[in-house]
Amino acid sequence: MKITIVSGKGGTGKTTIATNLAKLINNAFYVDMDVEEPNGRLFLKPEIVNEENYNVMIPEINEDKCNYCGLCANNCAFNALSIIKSINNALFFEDLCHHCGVCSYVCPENAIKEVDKCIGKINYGKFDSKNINFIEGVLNLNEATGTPIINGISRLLNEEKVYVLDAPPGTNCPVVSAINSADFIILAIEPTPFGVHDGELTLEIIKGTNKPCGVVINKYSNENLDRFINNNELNILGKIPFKRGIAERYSKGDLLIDMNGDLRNAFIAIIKNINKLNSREIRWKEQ
Amino acid sequence: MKIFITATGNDLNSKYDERFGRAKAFMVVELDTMQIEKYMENENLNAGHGVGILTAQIAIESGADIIIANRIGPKSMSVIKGTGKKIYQAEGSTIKEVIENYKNNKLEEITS
Amino acid sequence: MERAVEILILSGKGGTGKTTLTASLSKIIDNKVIVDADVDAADMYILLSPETVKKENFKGSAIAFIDREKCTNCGLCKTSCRFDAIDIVCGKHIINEYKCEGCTLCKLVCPVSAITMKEQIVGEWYISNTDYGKMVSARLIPGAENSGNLVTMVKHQAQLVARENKDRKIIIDGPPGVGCPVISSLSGIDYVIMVTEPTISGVHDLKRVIEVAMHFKPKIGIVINKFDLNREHTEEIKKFASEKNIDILGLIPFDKCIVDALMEKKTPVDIEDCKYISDIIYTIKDKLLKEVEYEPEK
Repeated sequence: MKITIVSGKGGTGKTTIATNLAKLINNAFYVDMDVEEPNGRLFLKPEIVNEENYNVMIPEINEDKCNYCGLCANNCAFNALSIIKSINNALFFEDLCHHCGVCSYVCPENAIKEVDKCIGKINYGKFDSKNINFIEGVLNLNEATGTPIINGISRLLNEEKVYVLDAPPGTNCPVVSAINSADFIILAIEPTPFGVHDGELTLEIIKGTNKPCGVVINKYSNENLDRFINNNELNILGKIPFKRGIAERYSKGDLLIDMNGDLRNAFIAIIKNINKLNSREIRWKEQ
Repeated sequence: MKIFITATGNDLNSKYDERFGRAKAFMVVELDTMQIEKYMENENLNAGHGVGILTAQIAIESGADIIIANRIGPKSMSVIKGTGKKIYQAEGSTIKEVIENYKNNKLEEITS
Repeated sequence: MERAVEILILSGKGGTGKTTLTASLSKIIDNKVIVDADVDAADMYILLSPETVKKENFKGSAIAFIDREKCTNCGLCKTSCRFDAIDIVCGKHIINEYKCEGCTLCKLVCPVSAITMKEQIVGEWYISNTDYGKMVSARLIPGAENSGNLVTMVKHQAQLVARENKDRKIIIDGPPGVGCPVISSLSGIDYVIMVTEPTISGVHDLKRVIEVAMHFKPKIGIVINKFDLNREHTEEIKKFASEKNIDILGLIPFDKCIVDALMEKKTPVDIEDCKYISDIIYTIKDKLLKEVEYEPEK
């Protein structure tokens, strides 16, 4: 079962909610799909047991076979190849390549071979557990897109376990993909004009999927958000209060459920509310 | 000697275009006669990344010996390098002015 | 013709106060064009109340489209596609427009030429008037790709507006993260303000986005927001900044008046109660302008 935490705007508490739930739920996996800025490990502090390079394919041109016809470049939708016949030059621009295989497919001389290029890693670890329960994707810096790694992680998640997925921020492709493959969606919002605006955008997408979903209001301290909630018939799973003391401990990397009993209970309440909306019952760890 | 330059309009009094890849249009001018040999609207304006590479290819195929540009990226440069064509940094406002500046050796060559 | 100086505000991590600072600076800096390049979640309009004067569609790259009449459901497209972008719905092969990258491989392999490429409208960009100057912004349809290209478009339009209006500066609210939209936003930038917070995730993300930014060799300055939340991390950021020769433009304390202002859709520089914070922002502005106004023409 995949519980996916999304937010629209960054900084509303996706990772906070995901890490605390993953720690509290019995036998849950934490999956960090925010491959540009993966932060879950800062809070869960897992022991990393395996690191895997994540590769995509890039073309390698054999210039002995190449006749500089330019068919590969003409067919490349991303301008990643440039063939200058007059000087027998074949140029490949790695950062434009989308790893699609078209160039190799169209080459009439069989001069293009596809080879691996590492764009990042998938790391596996464990926290509070004998078995692996932490998966994190990390995109190498200066790579344009982490979508291949996000797709790679998605393929690892089989149905049986409870996965708590920390999605990337925004409403872009990877987020929509994550929403489409979720079993339960939690929208993290903050009660500010930005939070409400971006929350509404994300809600548009979620509603389109007809999947069970609920809202967690983070940094809650006033009634501003009620207008938003009443209009949308949302299920409020829980509210996490805004307190300077919480922010200070968060800044050090502490989990909320470890800070005090009230916060722990707030997360237990979130789990209970998820259970009300969902057929599979999720258990939490007793203290 | 022919000059390839990015253009905002189709005559020599038009301003040159400060962009390379997404310039509005391209012009080839015969230096001695100041005749406009070619004027091409840029068909790649809606292209994604790497549009400079396409423009570099157009510049090479245009038959020009000299390319004058304002801001040209490293990928575009790498396409032109090795073809023997020189690239100069545009200075001036109108295309006419820029080419006059080239004639008077006022333009700096861009080598990297 | 000189181009306007480009100032970009980034953060790496979301929620550090980037947009609030950008809006505040937009209100107190003269002779500039304001840009909202956070095209996935454009929020500046909430604080600046722009009036749209021009609106244009933005087309993304072409994606595949299967002609049902010609398709024989042989499935070759699906097995060839690297992006898992072909679904079978009610027995028919259709393109998943969120996953299709537009590579054309399916079109090339299709034995009956049933696939064509079609450009989609993926967003809109706008030119607007605000009380503080012209603004260029954009919105991407949720789930669309090409945010990098839209960011490039918005920056280019801003230079055109600046030329027309004789504005000498462009202030850009940048996208979060470190991927393609951020890389696009950094191209051609003269000065980057990194807005960070002294939290473990804030520091982690700051280091990553600075590394990406340094590729483009702009000048960089850091603003530490909510600095008093964790003095240790604040010192860590200062030390890191000095090692990289990066200025600290300002330290803003954690203050309820900032959130209160935000609830009223205002920035600290608008509110009397927020004078202390407002003064700090003015100092940031002065330091920033000193750095950019003596920028030699490139």
